[in-house]
Formats: sequence, structure tokens, C-alpha cells
Amino acid sequence: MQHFTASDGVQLAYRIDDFTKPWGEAETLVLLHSAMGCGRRFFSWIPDLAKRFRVVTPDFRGHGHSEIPAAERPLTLERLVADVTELMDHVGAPRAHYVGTAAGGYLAQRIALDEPERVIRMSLFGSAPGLKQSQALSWIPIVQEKGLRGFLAETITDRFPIGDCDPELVEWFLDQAGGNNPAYIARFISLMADQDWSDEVARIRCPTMVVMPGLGKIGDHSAYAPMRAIPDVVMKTYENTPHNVWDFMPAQCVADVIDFHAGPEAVGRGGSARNSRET
Amino acid sequence: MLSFAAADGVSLHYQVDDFTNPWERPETLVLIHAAMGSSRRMHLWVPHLARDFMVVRPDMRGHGQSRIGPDDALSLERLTRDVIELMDHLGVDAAHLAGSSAGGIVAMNAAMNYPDRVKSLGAFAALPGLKVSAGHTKYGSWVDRIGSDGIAGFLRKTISDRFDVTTVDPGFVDWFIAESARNDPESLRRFVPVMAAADISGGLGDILCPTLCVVPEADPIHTPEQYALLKQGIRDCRFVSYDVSGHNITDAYPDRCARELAVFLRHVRG
Repeated sequence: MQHFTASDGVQLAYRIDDFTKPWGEAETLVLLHSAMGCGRRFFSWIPDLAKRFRVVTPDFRGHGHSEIPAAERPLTLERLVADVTELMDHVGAPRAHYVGTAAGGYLAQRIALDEPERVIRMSLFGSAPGLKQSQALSWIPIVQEKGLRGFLAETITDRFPIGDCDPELVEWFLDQAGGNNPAYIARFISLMADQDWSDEVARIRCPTMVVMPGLGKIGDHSAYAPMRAIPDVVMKTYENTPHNVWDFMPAQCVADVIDFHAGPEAVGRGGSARNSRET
Repeated sequence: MLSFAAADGVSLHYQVDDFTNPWERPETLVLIHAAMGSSRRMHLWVPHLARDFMVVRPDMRGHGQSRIGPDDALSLERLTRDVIELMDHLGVDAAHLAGSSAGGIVAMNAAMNYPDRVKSLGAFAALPGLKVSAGHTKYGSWVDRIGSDGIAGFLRKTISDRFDVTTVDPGFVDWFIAESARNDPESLRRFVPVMAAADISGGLGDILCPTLCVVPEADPIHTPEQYALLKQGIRDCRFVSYDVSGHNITDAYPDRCARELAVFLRHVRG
């Protein structure tokens, strides 16, 4: 775990994992977590991705090992986006592959829209153009009443296929996500719940993959419909899945990310495609 | 990179990669590099193993960022203690050990002398001490040539001992030589004779843990008969020979070696 200081003075944590061939030139791929998440949530994604990419995994402000900003400071989408782009400059990756889950995908989309030169390719998991088309604002009173963990436990079937995934993973998720600072998370979700850029996504220039959890529990399918207007888009549905596909079906997600970001048509721009004879 | 102080005060560096399930207490796997190497030379192995193990990669003393210490400090026993003390430092009672060449000798020696601390052993292109092959390979001349040609010059002139250069990536060869040359020639001048004088073949019968030995069939540095000592001497030995030439299988075929180890470890854990 490493730290850097954002331009407004907040300390942010991140990690870099790179198991690519040292004599090749690997492209950078950044993994952007969801609200209440942290970089650690990608534990099962990183080994396979880091064979092909230099993987940068931040903790957003107020999440994981990053500092929680003071309550009186305004929390804006622009500030959260700047945290990511400042980090990417800090690690020497002005251009990179962007992968985002839910709210992390919102940041990726804003970067693809506002600073398109930064994004080589983008893939989004359970990430519509903003959270306005969802029930997210109704979460906040439940969080206030039952606590973050209590809220997540009560709504767990929105996120995990209970009975069809590892119960220890679910418990760990509840402890990790439920362990966030509730006041900050309320600010974070209120901010996200106010966002809707459906009318802008047609301007996204990079090749984009949109993965939709089939059951449409958090943001139903209509929320994703505008993304069909992205000029170079692959829309994928994981059938019959609740929201947190990245947590309970990581192998499928990673396979799709590798296929999309390092697949036959994506390779040839770096050392990542240089397979040894035995692979 | 992390560091700790060995019992003799020498500062030793190591890396840890752990992508195991956060709700489980992981088993530990220590990967020990070869002479003239460093933890960086095992880095392509990590993604194959770090979902299942906390993978610890030390820089052996006198290699990478680890200092060599005073003249009398270097022995096979000391190098072995360094691994055990690193495990102590990490609070690890017992670990799986795997090593490449000289690193494999250290791992073997640990399995013989600290059987309670070693759950399984992986030895890649490793003999039970280099004295076993001293009639065949003139280690004394290595020291002289490292002195006169430098590490890079020595390796460049003898590169066909290491890999089949007609099949490996040319970028890899340059990287291997540059990476090896980051080490201090003076440290290697002390390290190579220690390994060249070591013969622990008499202790092979003391290795009780499950063992994987992977060897190159056509190794210019060690002969098939020398490698055969391993399967003759180690009780629970899975012996695998790769139909390749060149000593450095762990560098030339990292994915294959790491997968071999991963499959073996899965079997060991049942």
C-alpha cells in the first residue's frame, strides 16, 4: 500500500501490482471500486490482470486506507475524478485502461467524457450513466436507522445470490463495506444519486464494454439503455445475477476484461501480448 | 520492499504478495532465487501462486537489496537460517519452500535441518550442493571470470549454458543479464565458493516433506546422473524432467515452472 497527497491535501492510498514481463512494455490498467468498496475488493482480480497489465488500484477518498475528508469540505464528482487523474499522473500513466465497478465506473465514464485522451479502453460493471435512475436515495434513512452493515445485510439479495455463492465472501463483504464511515457514505451516495449523464454518453470515444447484472437490482435495465449510443460499445448481460457481479463472479469478470482490454484485437501495442511458448 | 534484521544484524530485504481470500489465514510459500539473482527474478511466478498462498520472496544475503555481512558470515547454514528467521519475523511456524538452483539448495538444507518448519519442498534445477557437480563444472573459473569480465560479461559469454538462445525472447536475455549484473561482483566472489563447497547429498534421506524436483534434461552445468541423486535419496519425491537445454528453467519457463509448483502444492494440501 502506498500513499500520495491529492491537490487539496487529502491523503489517498493506492497499490500497484505488476507481474508482466520486465523486458516488455506493459500498459497500465486502473481498477476503480464501488461505493463502500476499496481496492482490496479486487483481491481475486489482480493476479491474472497483473500478468498482462501494470495494475493500479486506488482507495477513493473516505474509503479503505484513504483519508476521510472533513465534513465541512464539499464532496464533488469533479474532486473524486481529480483524485483518480492525479493518481494516474503520479504513477506515470497519463493514458491507461479504465475498469470501474458501479460508482467507480461513474468516475471512469466522466474521465472518458471529459479527458478522453486518458482512456485507451473502458469496461464498466453494474455502472449506468449516474445513479439518478435508482432507488439509492431511499438507502440513506435505512442506513441511519440500521447502520451501514445492517442496511447491507437487509438488502443483501440485491447484491449477492445468497445460497449460490461463498457465505464467507458475503460475511467479509458485509464487514468490509459495512465498516465504512456511515456519515461519509451518506454524502457519497447522495452525491452519486444526483448524477445523470445519459444524454452525454454518445460522446464517449474509447472502445467501451458495459456489463449489466441481469436482475437489474440497483439501476434496472432502462438505466443502461442510453449506453447503446456509445459509438464503439459492447453490451453484455450476466443473466440472472444481482448487482455485485465483480465480487461473486470474479473469474468471469476478469476473463471478460482480459478479452476486451488485451484480446486479439486489443494487443500488439505493448509487451502484454508477448506470450511465452508454453502459454 | 520490506526488510528485517537477521540474528547477526545484517539487514535482509524481501517482498510479500498475497491475494488470498481476506477471510482466511493463508499458508505461506517462500520462493528463493538463484545465485546472481534476486527476488525480482521470481516475479513472473507470483500471479500463479499468490491467490492460494502468501508469497514471500527474499533477496538472499549478498543479492538484490540484501547486504552480505562480514566475511565470516556467509555459509549454507547462515543462508538457511536467514529463511527460518524471516519466517520467525513474519510469525510463520511452517511454510512451503521452493527455490531455484542455489535457492533450491538453501530450501533443501532447510527441509533437512528444520523439518518442523517446512511443509513441502520445491527444488528447481538444484543439486544437493554444488560440490556434487564440481568434477564437471569448474566453479573456481566462474569466480575468476566474474572478476575479469564482470557479471554481465561472464554471463554473456556463457549464455548458452543458461538458455537455448534460439528459442527464448531476445529481450529476455538482455534483461536477464542486466538484472544479474545489478548484483555486486564482490558478493558473488564470496557466494559462489560457499555453494561450490557444499555437499548435503548425505542428508537427502532426512527430507521427510513432500518434494517436487524439476530439472532440465540437458543441463550443461549439472548432469542427469547428478540430478538422479534427488529421486534416489528423497523419500517422497515427485521428479519431473523438462526436455529442454540450459540450466535456467526457472527464468526461461517461469509460467510452466510456477504452474508445476501450483499443481504440486494443490496436491500436497489435499
